[in-house]
Amino acid sequence: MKRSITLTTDPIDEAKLVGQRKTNGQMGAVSYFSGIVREGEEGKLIKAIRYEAFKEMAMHQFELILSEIEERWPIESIRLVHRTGEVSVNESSLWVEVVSPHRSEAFEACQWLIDEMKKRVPIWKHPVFVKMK
Amino acid sequence: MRELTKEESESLFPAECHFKVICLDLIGIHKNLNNILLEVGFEGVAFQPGLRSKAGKYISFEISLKIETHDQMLKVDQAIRSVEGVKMLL
Repeated sequence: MKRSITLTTDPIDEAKLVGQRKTNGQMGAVSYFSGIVREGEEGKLIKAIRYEAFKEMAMHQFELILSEIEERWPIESIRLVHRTGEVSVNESSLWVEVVSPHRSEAFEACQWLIDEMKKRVPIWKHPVFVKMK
Repeated sequence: MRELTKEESESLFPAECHFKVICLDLIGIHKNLNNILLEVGFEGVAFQPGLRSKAGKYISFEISLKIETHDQMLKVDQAIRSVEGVKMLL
């Protein structure tokens, strides 16, 4: 399974990433997920979320999760980009692409990857609240 | 995937459980983690330091323990999480 994991402080350029998609004649499904920063957190208005990562451990945990996916589903490739630093409301903080022969494994693997990431990968979020006058 | 029932959880024990702790690299954190093991009844064992973040803010520790019951697992889990500086337990 081809894999690409990126932690970056740069904005996620979804159009560019989709344009870089690589498949072959055997692949019939591509599942995309983009996680967007909402304007509310803990019932309060926010302007951004600051993501902080223990990068070395995060990459290690991502690799373990992707290896487990490789054992469970016939996935051709996974690309994942996670923002760190401050991500404004309406911007994407996480982008995932899963390429597989059929849609069911693409959906399942994508969902499972994100669930496991939230449990196991040391990336923490801190809301940046809007200051009320 | 459904949650295991209590009976199913119990049937998994005794078991060798591997704990990975990710925490802030605070002064004394290794000692505090080892002390918590004593508090929950494990003597003669210690956490092994693992990866440290590039900026030196975080560090990981690992240990394998023989856990007898599901309740003991929860007790160890809660005790480790209670140590100041612990951010994640895997």
